[in-house]
Amino acid sequence: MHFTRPLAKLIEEFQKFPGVGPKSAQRMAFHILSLSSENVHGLASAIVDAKDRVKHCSRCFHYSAQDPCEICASDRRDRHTICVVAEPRDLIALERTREYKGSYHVLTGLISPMEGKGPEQLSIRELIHRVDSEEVKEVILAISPTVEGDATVLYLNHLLKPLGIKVTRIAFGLPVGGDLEYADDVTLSRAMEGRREI
Amino acid sequence: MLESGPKTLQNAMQVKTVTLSNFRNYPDVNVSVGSGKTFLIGENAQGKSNFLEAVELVSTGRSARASQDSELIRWGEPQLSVQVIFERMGVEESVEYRLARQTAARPGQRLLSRQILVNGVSYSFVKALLGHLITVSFQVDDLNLLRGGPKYRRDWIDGVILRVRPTFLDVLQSFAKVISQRNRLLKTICEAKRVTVSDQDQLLAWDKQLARFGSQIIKERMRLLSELLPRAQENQSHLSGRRESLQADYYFKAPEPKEDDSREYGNGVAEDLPPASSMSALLEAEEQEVAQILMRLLKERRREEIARKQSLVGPHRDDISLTLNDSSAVTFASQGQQRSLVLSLKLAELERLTESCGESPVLLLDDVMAELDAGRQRLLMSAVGDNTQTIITTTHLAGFEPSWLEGATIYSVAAGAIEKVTL
Repeated sequence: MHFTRPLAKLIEEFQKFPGVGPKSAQRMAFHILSLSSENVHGLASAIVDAKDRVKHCSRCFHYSAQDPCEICASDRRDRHTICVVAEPRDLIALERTREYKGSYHVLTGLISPMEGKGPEQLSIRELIHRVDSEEVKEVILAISPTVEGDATVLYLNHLLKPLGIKVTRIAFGLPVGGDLEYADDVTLSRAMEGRREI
Repeated sequence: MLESGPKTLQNAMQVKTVTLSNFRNYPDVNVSVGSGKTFLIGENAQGKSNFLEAVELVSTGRSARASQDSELIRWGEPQLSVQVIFERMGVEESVEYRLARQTAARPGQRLLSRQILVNGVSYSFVKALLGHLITVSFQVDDLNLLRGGPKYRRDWIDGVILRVRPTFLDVLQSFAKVISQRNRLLKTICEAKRVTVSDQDQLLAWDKQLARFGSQIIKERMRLLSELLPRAQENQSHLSGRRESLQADYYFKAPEPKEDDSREYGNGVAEDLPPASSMSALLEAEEQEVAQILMRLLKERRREEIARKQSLVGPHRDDISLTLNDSSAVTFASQGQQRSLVLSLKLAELERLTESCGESPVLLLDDVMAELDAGRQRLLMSAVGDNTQTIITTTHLAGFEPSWLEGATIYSVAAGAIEKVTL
């Protein structure tokens, strides 16, 4: 297959996106060519604008165009509780529930030596500093139960426990509306471990 | 068990048809497998073992022979498929494994896409195959159970556990991931030439992960070994005319100066065993106690682990020791004794899986009869009985006791074609 240089370059760039294969990249590139020049410029400046203006909040490390971010700046949020998540997208998921009224801390990843990620590469020092200086009563670890997630939880717990605050981890169990008989064994045994009195 | 003659099993898992398309040297074949014994006769390198490999592939989800999955696809073809239709507890089921070469995004990149179909339902992960078609295979390589390195024995016992309890795969995979992560951390620490407080805290987190999954694996292995042992002992005693007594034990592997897990021969015995770390002492222990022992051993060997950039404690280093009349089966047993011992262990595997399946699994005998003398053939025969479906590859039928050939289905294999033979 032969593409003229600029088109080939665009397809290549799209293919670097997560979840985008050669075919989708081609479709996206052709879509761009079919747009009006105005729309394309709009798209390009949206990309540049987002990249230039959205930064990590200096307090909780969530993405925001202002610092401190909208959540940290709000006086309606309970500052005594910090919910720790791995990525901004986890925070967004929790916010969707509209249940949680505390503040957040985004680690910007999980401990994973194979990807060169140790505690120093994450915002762990900043978390400890916050717990020390902000009268925090509870830290909720909302971290996925993967090998890396569990290691990160063990590491954090080791640092947080001596500070004399309550450290909790969100429960693992059956998906709501799901059937018990279809749950896999690991999920079921974790759900059994995390059972509680009613 | 053995004294009572042929087993009177009510049921046996039963392969009906095997359909191969572009698998190894087979372009397209469809074979109806007989209900009792099916022989595949052919010269070497005609594809007999490939046929059994295909059946094992849809049973265990992996090939023990292929170093890369891509070599399973027939040369120059885009994709392979292996489909086996079988009967389990009287109900017909179908398992299919498809592997396709994908157009690579970059030249030189090798991509394969895998699709699993279980009773027509499509999955992308191999685990979906486990627990459906259960096979037990006997191969010439089985002697590695004695002569090979510890890895053969670990893989063997893990393989049996996976067929009894497929979810064990999750534990094995999590453990493997912990080891990779931990080894990388040890390497980073070693190269930095100092251990910071943060490194120590991080290592501790990985230690706990290693102990958590490691203790689960060790407990599973010990439990299974303790179930296999009485059966293997009975077989061994029977084969040796009650002269030999078999013992097996599970060991936390002691350090060795340079261990290469890939292919090592002759150093299969665990030495310098720390006390209270063997099966007899730990079979009764709770998982948590085993985890605590692992944590202690990790602490003791911290310095050495950093220096060697490797995790040295855990089930990935453990071994199973086998002794005959109290001396090491690897070092002291004769060739014949070793063959009997391997047969005893494999038959124990067959019996254990028969128990957990509720019926006899399908037996695959890859060119092993030539290795067995009349006495061992008879033991195998009596264990297999008339109620186990058996697929046998061989270069010739001479050497088989006549009872084996009674009512057997016979195929000839030549250059990727399989034809029915009538004697």
